[in-house]
Amino acid sequence: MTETLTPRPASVSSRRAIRRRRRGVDRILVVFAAPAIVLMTVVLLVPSVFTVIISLTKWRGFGTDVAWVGLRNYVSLWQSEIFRTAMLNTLILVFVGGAMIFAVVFFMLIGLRHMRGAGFARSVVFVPMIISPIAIGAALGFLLNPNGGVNAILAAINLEGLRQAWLAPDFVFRMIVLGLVWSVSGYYLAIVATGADQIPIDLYEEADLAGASKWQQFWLVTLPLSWESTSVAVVLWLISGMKTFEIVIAFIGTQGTPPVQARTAAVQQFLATTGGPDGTPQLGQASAIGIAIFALTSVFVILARRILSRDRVELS
Amino acid sequence: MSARTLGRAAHVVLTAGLVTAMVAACGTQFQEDETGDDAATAQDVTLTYWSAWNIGEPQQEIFERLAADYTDETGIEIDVRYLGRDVTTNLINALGTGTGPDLFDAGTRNILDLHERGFVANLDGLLDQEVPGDGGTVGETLAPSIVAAGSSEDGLAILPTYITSSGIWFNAARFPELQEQPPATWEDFIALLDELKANGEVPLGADGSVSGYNMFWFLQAMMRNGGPGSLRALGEDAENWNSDHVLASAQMVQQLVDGGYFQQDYMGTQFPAAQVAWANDEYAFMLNGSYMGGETAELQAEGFEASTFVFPMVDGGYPTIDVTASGLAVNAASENSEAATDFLAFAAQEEYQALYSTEAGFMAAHTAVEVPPALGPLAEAIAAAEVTTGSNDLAPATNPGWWSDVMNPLDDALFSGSISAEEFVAQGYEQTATYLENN
Repeated sequence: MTETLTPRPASVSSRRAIRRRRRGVDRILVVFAAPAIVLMTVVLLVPSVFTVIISLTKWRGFGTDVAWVGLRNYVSLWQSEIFRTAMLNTLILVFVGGAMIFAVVFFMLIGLRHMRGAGFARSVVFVPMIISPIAIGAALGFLLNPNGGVNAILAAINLEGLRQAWLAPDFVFRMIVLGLVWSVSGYYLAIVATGADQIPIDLYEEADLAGASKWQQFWLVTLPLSWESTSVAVVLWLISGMKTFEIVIAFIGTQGTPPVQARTAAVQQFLATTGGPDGTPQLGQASAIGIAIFALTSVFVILARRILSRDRVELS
Repeated sequence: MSARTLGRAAHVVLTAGLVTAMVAACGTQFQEDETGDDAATAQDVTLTYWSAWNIGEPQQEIFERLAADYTDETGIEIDVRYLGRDVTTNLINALGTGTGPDLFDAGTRNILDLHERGFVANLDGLLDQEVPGDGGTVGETLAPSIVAAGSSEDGLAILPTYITSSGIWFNAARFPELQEQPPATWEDFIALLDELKANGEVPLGADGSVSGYNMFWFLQAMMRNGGPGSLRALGEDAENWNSDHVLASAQMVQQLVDGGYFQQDYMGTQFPAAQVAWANDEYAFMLNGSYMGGETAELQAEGFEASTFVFPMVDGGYPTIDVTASGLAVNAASENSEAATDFLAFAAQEEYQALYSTEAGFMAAHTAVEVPPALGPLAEAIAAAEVTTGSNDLAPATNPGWWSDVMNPLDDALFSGSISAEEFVAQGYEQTATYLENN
């Protein structure tokens, strides 16, 4: 005699009860999710679909004809040396600038752990994040103009040979990278530190007793145990870095058009959206740039999440 | 309460709300005139104006005074929103969706675009309208070149209130002889720069981080060598780069760069550092807009007398003067267009137009208003101009993508000295051909 492995069918009444429960859950879901779904549809989905459609057209905005051009805006971007430069600049900012930002974050995590007044130091590093770009632009103008503070200091300490036109088109992008690192490092330090602050102090005491250097303590204790907050910070940086805009305008000023050497993809999108000084909007191209930035950012975020995902370290 | 009952109740409430809102809206928009008079009284009209100026700027203060006097005179209120320079994008969207204001700022640089979109009312009738109090018509207060600068192909598009141009700025207290006898030719100008340089002075100042200002030199050279439309033509057909006047103009810019006439590290100078230094008498000349005198008025060194002369002439060249008119436009879809046009006639009074000269330091559009002394030579040139062009030869207005992606970067490269005049022309040809093929 063999036993049947077929599960016993649920009774009709219990199946109805399950369905009723499911219906109940669905109804509650609909009631609570509906406002969010409607809101997201109106403010996100519809504009996004509209942007994709506009990116396939040549359109200067209300009052002008819309011409369907298919993928021509994308082909044009691909062939545009200006856009390629802007995208390359963006990638340099994201990866080189990003490496510098997280180097600052990690060095500060190592340095601040044993420092008195670490909280105050963290606040100081965070301050640039809350300064308005206009103020940053004014300060940078004062410091980096040919007759500004930096060249004056170099002259005062007999290093006039290092004098530079720091804001000239061929040099300004390097200043923008440094300015960005200076202005946002505190923000990412604050995020990563939320994880690092949870690490029990006795782990470091044990590491000290075992003779681990500060560097080894960072690699073997701090980084693994704050991996989640670091991953979040990296993803946030990828998203934010790909949209870098304000800091470029802060360096160049609002009076002029940023030189090609300093443009990012977002700046190029801004120029297409507004038409630049005296110009008219080119919304098709601006939308195509927006889609390109979004697509590339999505790829980076997905890759980053895959690369950075690992099992959570649990302390027993 | 069951879900169905709740849904029904919500439906009733929403419907009632919608009906109430519609009735209220009708009450606002279409309420009957209790007097039975078809024509709206002045008190029923409120004009709306979106300004490109910010609170505290002289133009904002001028408008405030004008609007207050107009309301006192007619009872018509003017609802103003000072939105600053970012108004343009919002304005186009609002005008396109029928929610735009009755009045807005416009000028030569965007009249063609706004007209093409059907957003600006034709103001030809305003020219024949009497200016209240002053006698005479609005048309009689404006020079023909200014009316042309404020018009689209279909007629007047704005009430011009002030005009801008560009010229070479200098301190008349330091160079009194230039007031009577400015350098007439390019060769004279270069000789003057050489003389200053030999004396250890800095002949030219430039805020090199502003590509629009860097462009002034090539633009003016083109307007002399190729005449109006020659710069705009470079973005229309790559072959136009092969015209002799393009290379000749680029060589003039290269001559300035190679001559070392600009201040040290001029390409790294962030606006407004160079014009502040000029006002402090550190540089002899700056080629800039007619607005620079007003912008630096409070920074000028003691005894400084700002003045201008027009860009020097070249052999067989064109006496082109760039004239950009700015002023107030009326929304083509405005329901208050009659009141808005009446307001413009009121604004055309000499009393108000004079404020653009005395308070803002501009050349007022009104012919009877005296220009600021610094702009006398430019104003004379404009009044006598037979050959005029608009802002940047209207190139950015007609071809914005090419302007920001090809022309501006190439001009910056030429102006910085990183490419020669010949390379400028060759790259201009190549990049324009590629741009036009892809766009």
